[in-house]
Amino acid sequence: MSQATLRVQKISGHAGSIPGEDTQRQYTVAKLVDTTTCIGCKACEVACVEWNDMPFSPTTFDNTYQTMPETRWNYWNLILFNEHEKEDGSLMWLMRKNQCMHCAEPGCLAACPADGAIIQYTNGIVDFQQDKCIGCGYCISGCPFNIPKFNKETKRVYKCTLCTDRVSEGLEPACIKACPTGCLHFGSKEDMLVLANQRAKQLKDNYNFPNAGVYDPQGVGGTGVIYVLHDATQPELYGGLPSNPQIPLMVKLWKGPLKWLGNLAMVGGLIGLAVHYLRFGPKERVETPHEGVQP
Amino acid sequence: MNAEGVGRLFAPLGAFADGPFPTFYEPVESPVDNLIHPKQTNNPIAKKFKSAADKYGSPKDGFDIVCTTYRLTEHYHYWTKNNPMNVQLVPEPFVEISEEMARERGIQGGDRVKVESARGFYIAKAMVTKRIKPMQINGKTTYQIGIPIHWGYRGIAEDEGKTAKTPANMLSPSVIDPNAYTPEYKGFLVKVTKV
Repeated sequence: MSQATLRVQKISGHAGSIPGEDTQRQYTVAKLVDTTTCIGCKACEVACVEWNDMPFSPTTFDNTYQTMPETRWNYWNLILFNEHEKEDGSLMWLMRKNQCMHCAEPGCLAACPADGAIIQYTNGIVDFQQDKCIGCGYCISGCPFNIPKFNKETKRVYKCTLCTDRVSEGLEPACIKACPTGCLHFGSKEDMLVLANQRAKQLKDNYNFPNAGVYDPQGVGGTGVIYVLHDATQPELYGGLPSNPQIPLMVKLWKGPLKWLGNLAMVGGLIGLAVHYLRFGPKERVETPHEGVQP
Repeated sequence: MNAEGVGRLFAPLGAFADGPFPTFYEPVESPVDNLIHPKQTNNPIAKKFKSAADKYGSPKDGFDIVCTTYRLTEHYHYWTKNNPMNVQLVPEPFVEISEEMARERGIQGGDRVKVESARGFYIAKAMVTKRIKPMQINGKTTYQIGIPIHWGYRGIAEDEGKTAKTPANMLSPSVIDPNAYTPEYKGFLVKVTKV
């Protein structure tokens, strides 16, 4: 963010405090998706494709209004359409804008072995640097939301950037700008949480959704995309949103204890080799007489 | 409140072609009779085209399904079928049918169905959905289907031969409201068969 990178620290010939000093608020950014006011118009999908200059993505009819089954390497933002029958038999269309969640503790970043291929900015945006990507696809297995997608042609992995190019200029992401119902909001995480909780309370108090709540899963340290859900106790209804997303155990083990165990085994092996050499010396060649060989 | 103790209704003279006050009429093609006006089911002065193609069907002839047409948020009339950005959002025309009707007729989502009215036919894939429910009319289960109108003639999918080139309004009747001149494209009768 430009305001964040150009924050005034000292001012020459200036009496008193520096304007804005100590009033700097937390500037982790967040996107708020109020699923209760989404009408499924897909304006955000088109805005995403157009802003990021993505090519036409061929689709086929699949017995649903949903554009495609899941996001693609060149289609980062997808509204999931879920027809949900309530207990009283009435129908609800649960629509969820599916994109990168920009986790505070990203599973993709933890799993990635390439130096600098995945970075997290101080404002919370998780961004893939395709020029440093080695195409191993470990980020795909590290993501609990099935977001990073592999491009077979470039052998790189792509996903939503939360419009870093726009956000760094002080603009909102393209999807937010396109939303006609005001179901999408963008701002500091702090503000978005306040807004989300206000909306959830409104749904509980006035709209007969006693289970309404905010989705900001702590299993991945909170996310940069938070949802207001009609029924926060059953996020799975919204196209398989995990109720408690975690970085997969294998990634955790392999990047944590197993990594050190591996390092220990390697260093230990080398030390053992050296000690063995010092103690017993080089292996001596034993001459064995060849039988039946005439000089 | 007026002096006489009841409310008044006012309609300017000559404002309505079909009487001083609007009343309820069934569509020209309807599965039921008009309960308010048993002798006059539909509007007697509705404007009707009178060509040989303007025929009407009734449940007796096997046209027992109510059909409606509508638009989608992703498309705009018949223009956007030429715009890749809109075509990727909704690539093909479809016919929305209820789960109950699909079960009864053995139709799966994605099957091609032929929708036939007294005037023409339309072939597209079936979208089986919970959103359209069968209606109970006079104690009888009546199915309804819905067709978005955005395809036909030429477009990206049509030119690639992926979809039928005929428009959905091949089905609808050319019957026009005498006051508002709105064509009756929102309610007519069809047959549905799997192809």
